[in-house]
Amino acid sequence: MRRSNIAISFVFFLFLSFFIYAFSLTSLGQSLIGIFELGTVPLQKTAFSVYAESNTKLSELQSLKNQNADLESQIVTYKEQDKEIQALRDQFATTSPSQSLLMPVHIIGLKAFIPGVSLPEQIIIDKGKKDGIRSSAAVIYKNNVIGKVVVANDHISLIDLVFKKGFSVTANTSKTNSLGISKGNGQGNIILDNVVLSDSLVKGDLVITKGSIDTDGSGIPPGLVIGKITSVDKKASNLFQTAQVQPLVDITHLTTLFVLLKPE
Amino acid sequence: MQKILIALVVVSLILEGSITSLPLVLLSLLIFRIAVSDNSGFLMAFLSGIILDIFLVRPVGQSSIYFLIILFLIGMYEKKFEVNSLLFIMLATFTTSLVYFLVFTSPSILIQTIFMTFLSGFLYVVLRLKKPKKQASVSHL
Repeated sequence: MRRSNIAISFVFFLFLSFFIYAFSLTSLGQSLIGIFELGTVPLQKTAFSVYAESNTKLSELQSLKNQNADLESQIVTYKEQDKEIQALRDQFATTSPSQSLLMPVHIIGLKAFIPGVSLPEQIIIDKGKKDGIRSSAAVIYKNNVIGKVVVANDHISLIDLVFKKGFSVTANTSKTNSLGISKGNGQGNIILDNVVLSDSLVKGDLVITKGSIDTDGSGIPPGLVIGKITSVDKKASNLFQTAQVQPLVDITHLTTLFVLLKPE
Repeated sequence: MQKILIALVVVSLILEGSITSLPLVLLSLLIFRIAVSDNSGFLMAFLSGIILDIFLVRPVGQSSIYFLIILFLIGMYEKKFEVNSLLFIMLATFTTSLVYFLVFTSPSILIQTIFMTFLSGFLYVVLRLKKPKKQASVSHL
């Protein structure tokens, strides 16, 4: 009797899950999920801001924390706003890409094994389709490319970072103008691959996007920094030479990024 | 105990939804199923799976399907094996975490799986899930 009850409960919930799964793939289902996201985004945002705050080492702030618990929350709020303002100032001080196409977004989730120690390969931001974000839009910080949008729901989006395995974009070096393909290799590593042997790769040279814009205008624009070459692997027996590239931005210490919106 | 385990699922949901790639919800559901062997585990698996998918921008329902199948399989073998044991929880966590990482694609699969296995053992000991053996035979005497 008890066994049959368990089986009935299992079949009921399994059927319901399959139904929700199929329904979530429809446009009506997406809209309904969007409504739920309005409730879950603030919760995720709060949880992530607690982590981000603890990850930011501010000794002055920490000493104040010990003195007064009430003052602590005010300082935390102020610091968060200050960081956001600073990020906005830095971003709008850069000349490229065009300022009118940028949307500031907040990180609300990251998928890292041990937060603060291992690097994530994907992040979640607090803006989605309803805010004008589309799939394959570039995500940047100052003039550095951070990644691109892979899934855009109504109110949240999933970003693949430049060093995620499978992420690739055409790139060239700034000094020697050598052309290649920047490929994510996981754990913060990028490889500049497919560079012909006749080209020159120099340690310390910057790797810049060559541009990968789709026909609808979305994608990664040219001139964004991917990272700096840390080592070069050139063998006469190989068809191509490769270089290890290190991103200039540490994603784990950022809370505000910018999405490049498609021009109207 | 049930309230503590529900709180564990909620905390796991928040952590997995915001800062870590470890399948903490899966682990907390395994612990919940072993400690509370009734149908409420299915409801927890269903709800937490739906919320987790919304958090992680996945097609909604796929985590629920995975969690429900895992809990059902544990229920099936409940009579055949001693599920409320340290060895079982560690083996179950290792297997289910490995499959979870393969299904939901994650980097450093083996390291994360081993970490989860030891975490499950740690939580089993800390939460003292092992029920005391019945003294029925002694009382008859």
